[in-house]
Amino acid sequence: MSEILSNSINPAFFSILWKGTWETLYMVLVSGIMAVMIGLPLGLWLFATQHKNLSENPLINKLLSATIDVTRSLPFIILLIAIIPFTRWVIGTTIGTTAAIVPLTIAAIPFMARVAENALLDINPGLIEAGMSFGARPMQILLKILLPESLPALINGITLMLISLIGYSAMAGAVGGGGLGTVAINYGYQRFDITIMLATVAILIIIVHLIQYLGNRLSRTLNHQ
Amino acid sequence: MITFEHVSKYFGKNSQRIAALSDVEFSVESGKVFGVIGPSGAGKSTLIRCANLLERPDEGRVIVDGMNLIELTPSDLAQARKKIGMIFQQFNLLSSRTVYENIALPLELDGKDKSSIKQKVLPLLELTGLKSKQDAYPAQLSGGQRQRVGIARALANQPKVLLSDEATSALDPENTHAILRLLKDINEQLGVTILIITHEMEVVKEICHHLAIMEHGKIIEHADVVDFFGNPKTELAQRFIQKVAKDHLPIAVKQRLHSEATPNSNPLWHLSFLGKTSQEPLIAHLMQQLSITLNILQADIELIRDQTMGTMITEVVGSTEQIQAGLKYLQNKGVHVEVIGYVRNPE
Repeated sequence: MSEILSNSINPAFFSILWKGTWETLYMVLVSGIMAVMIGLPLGLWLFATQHKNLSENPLINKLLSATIDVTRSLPFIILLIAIIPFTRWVIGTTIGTTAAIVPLTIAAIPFMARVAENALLDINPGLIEAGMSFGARPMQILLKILLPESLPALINGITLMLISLIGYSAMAGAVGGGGLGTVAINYGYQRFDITIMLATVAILIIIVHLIQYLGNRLSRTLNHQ
Repeated sequence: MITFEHVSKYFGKNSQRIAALSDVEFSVESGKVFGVIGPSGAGKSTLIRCANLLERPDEGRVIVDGMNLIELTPSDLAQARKKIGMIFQQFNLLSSRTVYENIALPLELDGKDKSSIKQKVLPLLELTGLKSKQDAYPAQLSGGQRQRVGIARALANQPKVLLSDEATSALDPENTHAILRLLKDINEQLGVTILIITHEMEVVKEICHHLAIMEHGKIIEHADVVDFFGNPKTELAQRFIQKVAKDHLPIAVKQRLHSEATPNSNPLWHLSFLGKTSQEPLIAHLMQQLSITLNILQADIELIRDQTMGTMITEVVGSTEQIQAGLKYLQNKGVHVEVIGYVRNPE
């Protein structure tokens, strides 16, 4: 056993893992940021158009809600394949880390929108009334009252999303997306290299814990309740 | 300053439509404190929420400071609301902002710069006694302190009107008293007109000039507060005072209390003395000159707004003639006598 382990630990071993780790982080962070940028406003919109809310609009609300649910109900591996033409149109290729960001982002947007919607729903509706009572406009209530108040919950949701994205990124890796998923498939599975397999697992555990730790800490710092 | 004209508000649809407010009419003079009291479910909350259109009435006009709010465009309404402060039972403060930042929020939204915000917030911190707490978060404050922040925030835009939606209902008696004193100061020193809704009679007694009683979405009585308690004329006012008096009776007496007179029962009187009648030796006269025996169950001196009012609940023992004479004597002296019921003696 120790012979097998020591055999595979060579300079190439580290550079493979190093590259895979960076690719995973790159995919997860870029798609995470994009998902927040698109999903957060969608979540706010979803919240605001609800019945008796800031700008009630049943049609938009139903449409948004249905789109989100459809996207969320697709298993990621199927979404990955189904949107290949779209990915090719956006990035120009369907292979590689950058190409994987497209399906990852698309999978994370509806998740983020629901996270944002739920975070806002948890806020005491009295705050909206208070805002209205001192003459705040709907957009001000959304951005200056509801968003800051829901920040701790949003951070928790984003943490959750990033951790799911790590799982998804491994699936993307399986079909040529790069990152630790590719490393695990190519070396761990196809070459039956147990050392590298265990190393990817260890790295993934560390990344997940790190994200969870940072997320918890940030959320706690921002929470004054 | 605030006028409701034929205001109605319905909830539910068609056949299940319930009138939360039906044809409500009242007006609050500038610089006064007006209290609306009533049991829960009477529509008080809907009423006050109509005063700044958090709830839009289905019929009628709501006029604040000469403007019919119902006709305003959304942006004009937002502008008008800046001159109508509101405080809430649950305070509704932002947990993510400090005391200072909470008070500054309405000014920030108005696009004021930092130094002019500071100029306005500091005196409000002073007024509400929150100077030492300005960097605390709401979670670190007591209920009374949180309501002070709510009041300071409501005053940030220098409103002419302050709406108080059960602002003291979540507070203990001591804090309630302190908050009411603060509201009284605000009314007297800043000239802010205040509309208060509450289910606590103490609130009305302590700071209101006028009161309105609500039941089933209607205002069923309007009165000057001192008149209402000192000299209740209408049946409802009398019923109200009887009810309050009954609620405070000792249980042993309550169990023996009946609404009809019987040969072996004695009447139970609720007396209210207002102003200088409270200084005359009326009771001594009843007992010595008219030979009536009074079994005093409760006596109290209260402050209604700024007038002292004495109240007494007493069982009256004597012949029918003696009791009649006593009643006449008291009424001549300007004492308001309310017969709460008849106490039956154990056989």
